Amino acid sequence: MADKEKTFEESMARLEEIVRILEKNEKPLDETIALFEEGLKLVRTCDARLKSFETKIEEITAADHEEE
Amino acid sequence: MSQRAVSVSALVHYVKQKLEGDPLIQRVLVEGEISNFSNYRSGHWYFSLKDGAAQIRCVMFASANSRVKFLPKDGDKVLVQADLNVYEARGEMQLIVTAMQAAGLGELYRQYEELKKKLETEGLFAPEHKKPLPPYPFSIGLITGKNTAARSDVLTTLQRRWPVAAITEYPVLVQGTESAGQIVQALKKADESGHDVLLLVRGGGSIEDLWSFNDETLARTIYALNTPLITGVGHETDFTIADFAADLRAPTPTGAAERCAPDIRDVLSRIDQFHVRLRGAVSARMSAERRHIDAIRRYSWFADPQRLVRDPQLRLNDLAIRLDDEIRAVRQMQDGRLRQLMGNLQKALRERMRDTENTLHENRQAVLYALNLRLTRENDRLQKNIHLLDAYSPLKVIARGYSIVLKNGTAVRRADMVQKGDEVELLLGRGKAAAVITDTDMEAEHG
Repeated sequence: MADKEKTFEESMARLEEIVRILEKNEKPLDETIALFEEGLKLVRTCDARLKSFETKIEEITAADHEEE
Repeated sequence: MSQRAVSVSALVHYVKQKLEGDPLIQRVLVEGEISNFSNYRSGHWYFSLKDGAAQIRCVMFASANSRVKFLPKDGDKVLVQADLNVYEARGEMQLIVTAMQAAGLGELYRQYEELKKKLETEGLFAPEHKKPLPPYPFSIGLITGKNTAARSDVLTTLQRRWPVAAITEYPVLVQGTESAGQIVQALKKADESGHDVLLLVRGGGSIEDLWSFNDETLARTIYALNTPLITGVGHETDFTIADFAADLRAPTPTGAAERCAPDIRDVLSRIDQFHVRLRGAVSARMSAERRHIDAIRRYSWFADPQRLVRDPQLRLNDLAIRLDDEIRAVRQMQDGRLRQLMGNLQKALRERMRDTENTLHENRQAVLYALNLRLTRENDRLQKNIHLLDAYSPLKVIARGYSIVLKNGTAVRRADMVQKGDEVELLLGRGKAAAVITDTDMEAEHG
């Protein structure tokens, strides 16, 4: 499930691509609307990803690995 | 002397250019003994470096000597990193010292240089081997000393710039004999954990302090990593072997944290910009489409929207009518054709029947005619035969006195047909008589 989702990097790249395509204004209207919707969705997910965070700090001691 | 004289300043300037342009004596490492050391109020250090045969004047400015961990004194054997400089006003050359270590370290430097050269030749520092850094790391592995300033520098910087990342810490000893081994283990473990990027950092220190970062095994481990690694070891001027092997060398721990992740505010504003451009592009497109529609609406049947409904309806009706006509025409065509076929068939039948009747009639006439003919002919023959019969009737002959002799019913026409003693029957003009042959004579003539 998770690997079906785009990574943040891919989302940003796709978003940029969509903006570029739309600014060229060469696509048919249907496609433009579809791209716009996709773009808005990406804006929302990227934004949400950055705004709903909490810094997680985990400590792994390399010296402990013999205990396993 | 035909040679042209040059000015002193030209000569000194030439020498300056020559010496300072020589890369061999820039950033050079020099080992020697300190003499005439003076520490001015300005903070700059002035001294000479000498060995058994020569000496050279040196200056180390406050900005550089603040990093030296000890205050040198005359007689100290030191190793300095320096640039050769010619002071034109006095026509003197001197060393501008940028770093200084106690001279026992000369051996360490040699090892360092040897290892560096060896690994460089092997391609461990090759730029083409450097892995690209992820633009948005969400998982960061931090390899550093526990409770060190470097650690808190990195965490503070990341918290400020990129708080969305999950940071996994791998605490290690960052100096001492066990340090390099621990760093190697930690790197391997972190590499297996699938982080987006790894940070290996340590604060400033003396060359001995940083020595574990000049470890060959560590360099090879770094080279073999699958995860991109950023190092930030010591200060700006410190270059360790680990730094060379890493995918990116940052001058300090804070620098490493800055280079490892973008500033979240930049990314958010970039998303906002995308949002604005997205809406802008689409609303421009939509208003263009709207203008287009308006223009079209002004034309033709858009002025009379009823036509939109009516026209198809009319066309449908028209089509239905035409379809009906068509069907009827086809049906009529079929009807006519059928009738014609039936007519033809009936006609053909009638003709055939008439023909047959005619033939029959003709045949009958012929038969009747032939029959009549035959009848007449037979009748004639009968009449003739009756006459003949009448004329030639033996009965008529018998009536005239002739008799017929029958032997066993067969008329006896010759004498040899009977023998003496044969009983015969005599047919007379009236009635019959029986007789017995008494004699026969074949030769007797009839009288």
